[in-house]
Amino acid sequence: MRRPINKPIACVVLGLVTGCAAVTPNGSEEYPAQKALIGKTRQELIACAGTPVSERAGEERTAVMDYYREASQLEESFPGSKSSFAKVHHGCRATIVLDQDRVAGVRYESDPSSYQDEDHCEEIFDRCVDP
Amino acid sequence: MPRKTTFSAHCIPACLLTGFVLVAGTWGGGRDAHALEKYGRPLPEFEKSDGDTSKQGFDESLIAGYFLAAAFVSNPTFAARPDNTGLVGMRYMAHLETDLYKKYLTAYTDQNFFSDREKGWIILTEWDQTYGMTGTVDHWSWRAQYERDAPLDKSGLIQAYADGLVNYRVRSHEDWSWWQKTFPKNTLTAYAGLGWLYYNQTYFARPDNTGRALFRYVGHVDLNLYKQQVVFYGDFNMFTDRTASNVVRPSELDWILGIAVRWQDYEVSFYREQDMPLDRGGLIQEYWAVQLRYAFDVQKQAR
Repeated sequence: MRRPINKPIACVVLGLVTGCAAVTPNGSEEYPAQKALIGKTRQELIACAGTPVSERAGEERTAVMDYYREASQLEESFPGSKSSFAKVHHGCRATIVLDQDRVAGVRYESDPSSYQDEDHCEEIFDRCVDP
Repeated sequence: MPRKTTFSAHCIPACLLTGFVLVAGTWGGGRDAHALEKYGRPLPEFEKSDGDTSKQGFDESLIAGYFLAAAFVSNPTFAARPDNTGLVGMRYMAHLETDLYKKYLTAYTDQNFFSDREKGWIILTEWDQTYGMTGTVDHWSWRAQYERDAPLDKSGLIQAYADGLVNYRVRSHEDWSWWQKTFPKNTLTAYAGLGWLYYNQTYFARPDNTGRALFRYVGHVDLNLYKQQVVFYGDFNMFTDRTASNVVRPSELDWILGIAVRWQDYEVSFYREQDMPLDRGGLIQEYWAVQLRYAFDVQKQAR
């Protein structure tokens, strides 16, 4: 005999789970690491984020550095009971503009653009946020 | 006494999920992607960098994958061999993949092993091998794979098939603005799809090893509860029977519900699976498991 589901209790549990998880600890500062990079020197940036995947000279006294972080396979593949199911391969590319050796601009770009997940860019610069 | 299972009782939620994903995705699919986040001064070089060789080559894995070990902490009926003998104690799996052409074409393999708790948990009793290709284009993904499930500790029944499968994906942050406004930190990702086992030598259509599978209907949902570090997930997989009078009517439903906690390259998950017949009574295979997964990814160097 099937046990009937208690619908009011199920709704309350779902609401609590999603409601509690929706709390935003950082308020409006959605990407604290992205903000924290502004003004850092090239040396400080490399010290906390590591070597970029590419670096090139820009106009005048500017330089452009690219970082990339691919999402973990934990997000990109589901291990079903007999075989895996592939999910979307995705990542985030961070482009940093240095002006006179200091970070003047930071851009996050999800890849592919149809799969927004800029948190992976934040992961690159986790260690750049002052405690 | 075997539990009687009806199509209407178990198929309706799965069919509703499939329909919901497809309809909702089509309805919201035309919405533009979000604007990029910017801080600091404009990035003129970036704006014109499409096609710039400096952008290419970041996102290609040389080889990536994961290893997992799962303990079936409670397993009354989930069999440890393709002939439905034994009861699984442990599961071990290796998944390897490589991007052949960006995200459009990826080759992968799964090597999956089971042990029998009735033979001391250690000796491996089943080896499931999968070889396939997969890819993604926008909201769509596809795959073609060959799977062969064989006993390891003795000779016996081998189940094998080749299939093709197409999925359509929706994601709350791109496709449902109302979800993003309500739950800005809780991404919901779901896909649903249809597969065809175009080659099927011996892959059964029910958990009691009857019939032969023809089509499969799949669906999956991930609810990100906290920064992709706590994820609730659900998965279903249905087969139809090519020997039945109605070859599109599902004959088996396999469902999984679980919760995963991730830290760096590790994941611990706790989940339940139940494989049940839909068009008649019969054997239901089910278990509860705790699983540890370790992922790795070796990136190609930027060109």
